Amino acid sequence: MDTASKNNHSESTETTKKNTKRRIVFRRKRVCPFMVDNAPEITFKDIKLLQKYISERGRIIPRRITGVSSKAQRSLSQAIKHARVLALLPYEIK
Amino acid sequence: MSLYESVFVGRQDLSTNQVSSIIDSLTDIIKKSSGSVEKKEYCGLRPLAYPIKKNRKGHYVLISIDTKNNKNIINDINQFFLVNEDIIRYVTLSVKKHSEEASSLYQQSKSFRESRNWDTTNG
Repeated sequence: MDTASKNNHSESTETTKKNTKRRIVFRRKRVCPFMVDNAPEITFKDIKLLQKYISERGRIIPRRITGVSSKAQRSLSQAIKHARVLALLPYEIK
Repeated sequence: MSLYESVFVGRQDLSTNQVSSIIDSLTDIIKKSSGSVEKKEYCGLRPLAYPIKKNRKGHYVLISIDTKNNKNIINDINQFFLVNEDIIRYVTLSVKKHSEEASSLYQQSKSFRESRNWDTTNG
């Protein structure tokens, strides 16, 4: 009985330690790739740039995944749509 | 709002001479209304992302326009694009300023220009 209770106690302390460790995990703040110095200009002509922000199916990737600021995302989605009209980018990839 | 950029896509079976004659007639339209063409870029015969009217490729041309505050120019150009059957797609947008360098579309379609000597010409 004594040994069993000791074991339980030690386990619980270990789990609390793990929890505190998880809380400390350092997460770097994402910076919008268009707000830094020397940022690329968002135009519908830069297909290589726009291709980074569309999915495998050709859809626009939400900014919660890419980390783009809302201002840049607005112009980015507009640029992608202009590029689609000119058949530079696909509407969908089947 | 007097600076514009226009990109149009020509049919795949056009010859380069036909493309340049389209560009010439465009510059005529612009110059008649006292506007000016800042830059003309032939980007080459690029593959289309999806087929348009049975075309799989298209001649991409970019022209930068200074309308000198004559708004009719943009209407005239869009009308020209609409009527001309050799042109399958076009986009005309206002820009804050024209860049001196070659556009990224021009740079990224080097491989589609083959050996033709189509350097950027300022006019």
